Amino acid sequence: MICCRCSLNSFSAIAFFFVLGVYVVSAFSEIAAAEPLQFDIADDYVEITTGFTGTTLSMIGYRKGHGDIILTLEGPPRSTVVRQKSQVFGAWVNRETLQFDNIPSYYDFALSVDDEKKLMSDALLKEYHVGLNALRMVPKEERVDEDTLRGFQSALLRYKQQHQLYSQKAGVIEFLGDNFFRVDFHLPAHVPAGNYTVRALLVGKGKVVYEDTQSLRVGLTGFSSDIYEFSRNHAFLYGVFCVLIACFAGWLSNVIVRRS
Amino acid sequence: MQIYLPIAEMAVSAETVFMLSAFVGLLSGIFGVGGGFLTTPFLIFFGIPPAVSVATQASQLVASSMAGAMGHFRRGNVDIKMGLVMVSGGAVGSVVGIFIFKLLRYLGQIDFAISFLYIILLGGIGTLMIIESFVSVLKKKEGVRKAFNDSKVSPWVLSLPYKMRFPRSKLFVSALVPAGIGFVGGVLASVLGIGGGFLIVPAMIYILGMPPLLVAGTSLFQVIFTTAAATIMHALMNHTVDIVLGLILILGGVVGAQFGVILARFFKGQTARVTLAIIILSVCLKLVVDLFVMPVDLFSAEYIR
Repeated sequence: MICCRCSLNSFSAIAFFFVLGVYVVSAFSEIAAAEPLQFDIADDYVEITTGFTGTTLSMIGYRKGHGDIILTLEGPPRSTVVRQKSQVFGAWVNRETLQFDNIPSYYDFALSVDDEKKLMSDALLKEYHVGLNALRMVPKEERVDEDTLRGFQSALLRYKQQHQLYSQKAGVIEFLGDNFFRVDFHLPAHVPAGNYTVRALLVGKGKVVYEDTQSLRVGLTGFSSDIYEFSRNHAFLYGVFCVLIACFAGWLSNVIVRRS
Repeated sequence: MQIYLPIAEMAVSAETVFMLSAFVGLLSGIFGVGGGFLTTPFLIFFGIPPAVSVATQASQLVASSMAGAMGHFRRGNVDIKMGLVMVSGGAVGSVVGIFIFKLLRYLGQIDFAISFLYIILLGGIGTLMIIESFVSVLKKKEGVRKAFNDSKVSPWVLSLPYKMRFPRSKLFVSALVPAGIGFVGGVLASVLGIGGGFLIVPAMIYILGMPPLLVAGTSLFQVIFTTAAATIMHALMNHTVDIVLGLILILGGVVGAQFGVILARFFKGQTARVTLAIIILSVCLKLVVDLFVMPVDLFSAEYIR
């Protein structure tokens, strides 16, 4: 198991590269020759427990030749409503609303160069969902004028970035030697649960030479998951359960207070 | 310690939420108020979604009113028949409240509605408390007590149909009156996550004409049921009751209230009332400022679940 959360001071750096080397060699010794791009996620199941405070998702990979690499991480699609406030009798109240369906609940990406525009045309970037400008954000409502739409789209992007659900800028793909690479994605405590897609692209001369996708599951586990599932699948019973717990707690506190 | 709230889908600092609810518990211990009207705005200031704040606060009130009502019950200060008639109205009120809540949420106006209603409520109560304090300082306590005893039930209340006997309160009034008061309490519990004692208690004294001795216990007794109904309805219709958050609030409330009861000895009635009024008005002022000062970002976004 690779621990990527530790800071790379001298000792752990040596240990890290040693472990990484063993891991990479064992993982790719047979197939490295066959595929031009290979990558693996250190942990393909992220568990959200009661004490979950976010985690670092590490990926390592191998490329053949000298193409550039793009990695994208996309969360499950969710619908989001964006509202704009305006003044009514001096108070700021929500007035305009646009609904965006099926936008990635989470998005992060990493590049082997500093800017994705150096790699591909805008059309290709859009096709492969590379970069924040390439994300598809189409409102459910039709006939929205350009300026309004742009305002709402940038507000949605801003909201996602402020809540650490979309990255501010591209992450850096680190090369360990010529062909082995490594990327760290940092997931916040409130990372949305669901199925994630990780896509690796090998780019050469403005085109995608090779593409590989893997899935990753982010799920509530243990207590958090039980509570969430209970509240969704048996909503009424969950409500009754909450009330009973509260009644018991109230009764208990009264008894304790009276004794002491 | 960061703790993940499974329903709010966010991590919060458990100590901070605990301190916050302990502070409200402290106030409720000192001043003998429910405190729900302070917890909900605090949770919202803290970044918990308003829908989750309101629904979860309702579950906390089940616990605190349960603890409070038990004491009154033991001393025989609960008119159970009156309480149950109020509950029948309260149950309907909490269902109506849930639909109002759902509609406001659908319209994207729930945050505004909660802020607005809190400003009216807190502003009204705070101002009344200040005025009352000044008046009672001028008139001395005798005057106030006299006004209490002299209060008469208005004639239109007596003319309502479906009269019922309430032996414990020595009243013969229309069942519609307590049921109506309960109804208002139920709506408030669902929409604002409060027990509504500050409205229900005066209504029971002045409109219903109940003996003041029975009012606190009976009101707490019915609050258990209306907040329980609100909790179940929120869980069923909105999936917004976070039991993990609820338990921290309950724990904080219990601990805070105990210290409050101890501290209450050091507070004189008048000072206590003015202090509480100032706290209430400060929360109100903060809500007003948030509503009228131009927000940093005019846009906001929200998942649809």
